Amino acid sequence: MSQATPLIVIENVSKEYRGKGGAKIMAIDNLSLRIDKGEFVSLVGPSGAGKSTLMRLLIVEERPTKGRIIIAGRDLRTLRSRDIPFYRRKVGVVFQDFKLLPNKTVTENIAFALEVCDATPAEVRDKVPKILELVGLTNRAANEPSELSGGEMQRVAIARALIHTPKLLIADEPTGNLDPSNTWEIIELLLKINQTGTIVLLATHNQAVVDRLQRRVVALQNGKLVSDQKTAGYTEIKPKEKGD
Amino acid sequence: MRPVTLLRVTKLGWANYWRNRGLSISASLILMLTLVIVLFFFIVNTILGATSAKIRDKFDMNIRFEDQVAEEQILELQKLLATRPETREVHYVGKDEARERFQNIPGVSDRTKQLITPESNPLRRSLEVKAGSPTDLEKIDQLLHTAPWSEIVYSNSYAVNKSTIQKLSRFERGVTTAGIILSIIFITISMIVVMNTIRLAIFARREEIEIMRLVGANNIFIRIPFIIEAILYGVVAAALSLGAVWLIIKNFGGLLKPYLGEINVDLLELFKNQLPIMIGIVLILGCGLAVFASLLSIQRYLKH
Repeated sequence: MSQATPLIVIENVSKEYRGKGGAKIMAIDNLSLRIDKGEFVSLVGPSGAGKSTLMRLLIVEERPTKGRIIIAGRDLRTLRSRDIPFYRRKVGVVFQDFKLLPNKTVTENIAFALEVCDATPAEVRDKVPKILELVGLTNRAANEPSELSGGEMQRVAIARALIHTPKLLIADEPTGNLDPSNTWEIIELLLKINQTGTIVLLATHNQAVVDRLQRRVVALQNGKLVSDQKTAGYTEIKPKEKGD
Repeated sequence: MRPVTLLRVTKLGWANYWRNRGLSISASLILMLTLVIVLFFFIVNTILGATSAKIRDKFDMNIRFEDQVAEEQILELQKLLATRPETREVHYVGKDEARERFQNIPGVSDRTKQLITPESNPLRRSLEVKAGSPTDLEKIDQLLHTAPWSEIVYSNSYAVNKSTIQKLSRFERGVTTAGIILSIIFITISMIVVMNTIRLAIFARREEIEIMRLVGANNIFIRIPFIIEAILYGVVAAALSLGAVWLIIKNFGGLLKPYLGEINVDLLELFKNQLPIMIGIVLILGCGLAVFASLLSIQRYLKH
């Protein structure tokens, strides 16, 4: 892919839900955004701003009511239901609540993401230890999630998201359940991943994280894009001007 | 799907059955109750079948003839009856056989028996007809009332037994219909309970399904472990239901004997004889029901 072509193109996307009594709820309202290869983007905004909805649209958990999303040249509208699992194997996702399989060990949780896509046992044996080393969990390989701290669980989730070496890593409030020390460990890990060329799209409420990152910040409010700054802290977010 | 992946999902199904053993055992026990009900209805139906056969044996007719009627005419009627679809069996009883049977009737005094000799035998020649149903007997009775048969027949037992036969027939029909209706009601109720138990078991694991989807598992990969688990529910339930029915029959079967009367069925023997069929029924029904419920319940979590 050339440098000029963005990896993610979000064009006039709206997502509408029907509330009680049929009332319209605009979760995303005519949003347009372009994200280039290698970018680290923080997606900020109050609860209900539309951050999680945008994440769900990117992993095709939801479909836009209007507009289109193009990832690596592929218009997500053209994805058929049976293609979605294959698409998801190319996009890493991390959630606030980790979403680990509780009865599997750290190794098994990571290997599972490989096993679902027909990886051979040799591939599993080769890739899992490497990714465990990357996230610093080699010594916890045989533990189950219940035996890990929040930070360690999130690192397992990141390792699982990275196992397919995705071009895009979506992190939806990954530090929401963590203490400050674990929060920084996770952010540093995300930065390390970003250095390898993977786009990191981080949805967060955490002002301190955004301030420290000093990377691109996209702010949403009521489903609308209110600010998009190339490098900023939380307090420096300015309303988007017309024509930006 | 590669063989290695198929092996993985099969192992996953086994492992999940064991890991979620609380839910698995509940589902198997509920399914077992359904299968026990099915097995009891199967046994009742088998006994009813044997009873019906005995009742059907009683659907016979004894046609007696005037003494002056030529034997050829009787044999001609026998031949005609044998070709009729409603006749199961027709047997000619001549004077000698009638006398022989009379001699063997228990309780008849020797003095009375001596009164009947080959030279002086007042017993009438007859045709013994066995039919499939009371309706068939009625058809044969109608035939006997037409010429030339009406002129050679002295009497036939249908007229005497008509009301008893019809009562028996109504009873058999009633029991069969009640059996079918009760089976349908009980099986439907149990099926609803089984389906809801499996739905709850899968509901409790919706997050696991969500995680599988999010890491890129396709629907087949997600479904197969649940199908394997459902088959295990079915197999365990089938084994438990057979064991439970065997225990019940062994310990309480004797209590039923006085009520079975003439039917004289050894329930334990019946259980042993019918075991291969019963294994087939409970395995197919148990696994089929569990897999169906499982697939139906999982479907709502697989929508993209």
